[in-house]
Amino acid sequence: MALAQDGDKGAYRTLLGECETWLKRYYARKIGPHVLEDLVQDTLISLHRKRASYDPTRAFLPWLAAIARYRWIDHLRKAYRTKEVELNEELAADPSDPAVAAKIGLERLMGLIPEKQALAITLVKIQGLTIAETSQKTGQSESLVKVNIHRGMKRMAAAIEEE
Amino acid sequence: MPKGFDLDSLAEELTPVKPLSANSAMGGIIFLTIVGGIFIIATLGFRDNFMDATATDPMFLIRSGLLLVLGAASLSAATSMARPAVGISRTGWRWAAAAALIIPIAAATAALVSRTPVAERLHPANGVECLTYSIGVGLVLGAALTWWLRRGAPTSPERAGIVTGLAAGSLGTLAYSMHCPHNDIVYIGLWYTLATGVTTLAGRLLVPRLIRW
Repeated sequence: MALAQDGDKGAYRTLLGECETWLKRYYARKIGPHVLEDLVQDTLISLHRKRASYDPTRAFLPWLAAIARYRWIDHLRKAYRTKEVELNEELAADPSDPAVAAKIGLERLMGLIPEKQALAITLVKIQGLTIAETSQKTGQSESLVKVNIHRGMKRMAAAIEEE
Repeated sequence: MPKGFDLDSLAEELTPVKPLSANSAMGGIIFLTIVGGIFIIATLGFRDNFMDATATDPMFLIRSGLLLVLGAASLSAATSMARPAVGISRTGWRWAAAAALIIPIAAATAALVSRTPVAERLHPANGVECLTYSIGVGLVLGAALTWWLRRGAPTSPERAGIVTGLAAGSLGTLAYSMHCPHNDIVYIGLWYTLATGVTTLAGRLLVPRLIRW
């Protein structure tokens, strides 16, 4: 990335390719499969636009993860609704580096919020269920589902850079 | 990948960038604070007998010192937010803000048991001048900080707005404090807190819209 900041296009192209692979894994199961590509693309564009914000004296992955988390929450906020819910097994089964994932993964961010909020977000925002379906499934009232989503998203947004 | 997007063309668009430097942003804001202080002294003058007595007045030293620490802590948090990374904690400014809250709390307590009517201790005309100049200098500093944050990638725009407003307000008030002739805790507790509070609120409300990405 430091080379890219200096304008090395070759190094940058390699880096983008690796980031693309990494991001697909990072977001797998954490966003509806139909919008995964969109999210990866948006994140790469953010990376490009905000490349001056990378501090070359620090590690690269925590920076990329901060940008990825910000874009992820942004995408969850846009109410994606879809009828078909199929998990992309190929991506979901992709082994990712457990040490890195444990530290900067999205599970960690989800783990920071109360279980009921995380459940509501997973069902509605990631799996694409309706509020009514989620209410039935979880026993939370419809308005509670909405409140839980709202609160959980807010809390996660505030904690993007905290572990 | 959807149409119109491929990594090759993104890489082709690459132009060299200079990594954002938090130190130069801090330096710039400190420079602007000094300019603000000089502007205050040039237009309103120093406190009376500055060199003799009032520069060593305990209340002057305490308030300037607190504003300086609060300004430094929030400025450092605000500038570092332009360069995100998972695992960074920036909570130091909260402790500085908590310490600074001692002033309004002490002022409120003093006002409650005051023998002189509190209204006489507040000098509203001077207070309005204090607000005008502190907030005025603060706005310039806040605008500069916001411009800096726009270039970066703050992941928590609301919090970045709060620390931006807090840094701008405390440093703006610090600049005005070079002129402010009052040493009364009740006066300082009201007007200084108000000045810093207004800029912090403005930062929280306005800055996030400007720095989202």
